[in-house]
Amino acid sequence: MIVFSTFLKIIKKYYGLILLYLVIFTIFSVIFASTNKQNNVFTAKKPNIAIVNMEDSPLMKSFLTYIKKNSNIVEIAKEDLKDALFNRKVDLILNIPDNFSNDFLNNKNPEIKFERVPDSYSSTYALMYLNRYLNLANLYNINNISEEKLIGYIEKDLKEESEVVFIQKAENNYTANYLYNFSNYSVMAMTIMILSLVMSSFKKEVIKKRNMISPISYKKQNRQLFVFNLIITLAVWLIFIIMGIFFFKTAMFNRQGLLLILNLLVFCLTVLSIGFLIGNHIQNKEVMGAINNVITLGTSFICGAFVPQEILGESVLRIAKIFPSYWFIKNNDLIVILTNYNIDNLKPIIINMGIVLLFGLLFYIINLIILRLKLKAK
Amino acid sequence: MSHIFINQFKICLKKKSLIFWTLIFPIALGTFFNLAFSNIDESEKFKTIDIAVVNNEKFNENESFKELIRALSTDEEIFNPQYVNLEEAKSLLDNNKIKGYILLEEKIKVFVKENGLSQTIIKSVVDNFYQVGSAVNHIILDKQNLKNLVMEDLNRNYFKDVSNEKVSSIVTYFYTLIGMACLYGGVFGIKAVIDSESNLSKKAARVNVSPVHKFKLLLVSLVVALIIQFTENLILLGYLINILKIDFGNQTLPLIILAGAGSFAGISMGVLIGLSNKKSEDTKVGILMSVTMALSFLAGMMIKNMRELVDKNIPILGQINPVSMITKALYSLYYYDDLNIYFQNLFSLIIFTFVMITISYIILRRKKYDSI
Repeated sequence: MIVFSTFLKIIKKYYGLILLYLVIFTIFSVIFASTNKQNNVFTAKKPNIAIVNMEDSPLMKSFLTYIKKNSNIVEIAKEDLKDALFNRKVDLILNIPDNFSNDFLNNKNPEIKFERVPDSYSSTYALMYLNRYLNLANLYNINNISEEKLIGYIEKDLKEESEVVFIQKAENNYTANYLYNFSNYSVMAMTIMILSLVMSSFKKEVIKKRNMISPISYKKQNRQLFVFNLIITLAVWLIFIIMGIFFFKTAMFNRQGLLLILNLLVFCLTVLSIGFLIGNHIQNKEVMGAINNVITLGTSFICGAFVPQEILGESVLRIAKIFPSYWFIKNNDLIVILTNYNIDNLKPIIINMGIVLLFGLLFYIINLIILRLKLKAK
Repeated sequence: MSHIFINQFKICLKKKSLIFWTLIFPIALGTFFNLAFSNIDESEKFKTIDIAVVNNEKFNENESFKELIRALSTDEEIFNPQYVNLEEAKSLLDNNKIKGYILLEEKIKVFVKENGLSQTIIKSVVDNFYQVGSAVNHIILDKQNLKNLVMEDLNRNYFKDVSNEKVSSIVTYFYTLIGMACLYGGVFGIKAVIDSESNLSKKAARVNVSPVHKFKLLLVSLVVALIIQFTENLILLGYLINILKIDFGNQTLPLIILAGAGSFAGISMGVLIGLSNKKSEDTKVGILMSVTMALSFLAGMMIKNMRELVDKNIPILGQINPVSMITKALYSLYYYDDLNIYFQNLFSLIIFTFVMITISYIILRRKKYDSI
């Protein structure tokens, strides 16, 4: 136990820093998951629209009522519009040309100019349903139906909607993968930081030499070292399970949730192996911090922890495949869309887990080889 | 004086970890960004949606709906439909091969698993089919003696995008990177404090008994830090602009001034962190790193909507976050022609620096030790 209590002493020495890391990464993960949770249910969010140059014609009035029903109209002074767009107070600014209704009804095809927040889904969606109104109006108009009449007709038309049936609503943790993908960053950063801090204290040349002449055998020391590291890793794993339960509640207690947790465990073990490798062979704490940051942030960016894999380019993903993070994240994405637990669907998930474990084994073997070479060199 | 200056310079440049954090790391991260985001603008473009249509009697009878699906899949490539029976459609959806399927019964039903963009488009297409149908009925009822119904241009676009052409949202990731690099400059501030505060290092204790005034020494090392950090910022900017081809707007002078002010802010934050506790250098650097990461996260380094979210919900957090200030100032240089927002944020950055320095000064002044 003497080795073990030494670990605890070292941990105590750094507890402030470790706690800071823990708090920051927990907050990161929660914020990350919650923002994506909102983004995903995109229809629930009404876009904010500002309208410039509103006409007072019957057609426009009816169009405005329709816009109001589907979005929030924001009143902003003309000179503040650009700032409002910059601060995302509005998603879409419509600039209605003079004489729009007249030109429209005379088939002159007037265009409404708009400015919008780049790439915002809500504005794309808004434009889709705004166009729908005008297309219906146009259909009436080219068939010579008067302005007054067509307004009434359109109101009735737009009430016609298809029926949407949600079948077997995915087990409700569709967004859980955001939390667990992000954990690629937090789990790696936390685990590797703690492990390498502790390990490097042990591997200092003088301390190592002193330890070697102690009555506790080298093997036993190493075994305890490993057990301790394992406990740290499992603790980090546990934090993420708790976070998942806190965040997705009962949704974690189903087959999907369990698979996510299992997938994370597999990844944690590989991270343990990486942390062991770094801690064993790099003594300089600054270099360690450098390597830790580059590995965690680098893999997070190119393997899809921050930006979903489906958005990343082919060439990036080809590079990403040489990191275990890629397979871990790919698996999360596969798990949350799983509804049918048959062999065909489960097989790729199990294979991916296997690949992540193989990476872990590979790092462990590299670790052993370097140790052996070092020993021989002496 | 000049020899302190030159020696400080040598010390800073020889310490590789300082150069790593303030230059190499941001460059490496920028390269990762570039790799990860090279495809994003492309992927935001519309993708064909995989759907299934249940090939039942009702569907085969409904010529106009058949035609609609055909038109949407061949002419416009919105859908990639498969015509299958109900069982197959269910299993396709089950295995996530399609986003949803359409079943024609008395009404047209759309079966989906979740509420996303593709699903909304499927629904919208069917809605539109109904609405056009309803409109056609209205027209026929209205014009009893209608000879031929004009049905052209049912999907015309009445809107024209005149948004600022600079719409790429990726640039903000790189702007937060500059903000992060500026704050990482704090490692120089920490080092300067450790080397001049006698209760923090043996070297400082030794230097303190020399006939050089403590403030002079600190001041010189901070000036050196500022010069190095500023130069590194320019190198980073040069790398981003010339090699990664990131657009920073065309206003060079404001950009350089911002790089300088950012360096100053970062170093002053480092000084405060260095003075705030008596822990080891590792711990201080650790605090700086994690605080910087947190601020960068809140400014949108990992998710681009983060900054807007913070500005909307907790505006005060956005106003006191130097990474956010630098990001906003850079974005305004890129997006606006006038410099209003730029100056606002530059001014906030200067206030931030001033506050950091004032607090540091209060901690630092008139410190004398009987013993260390």
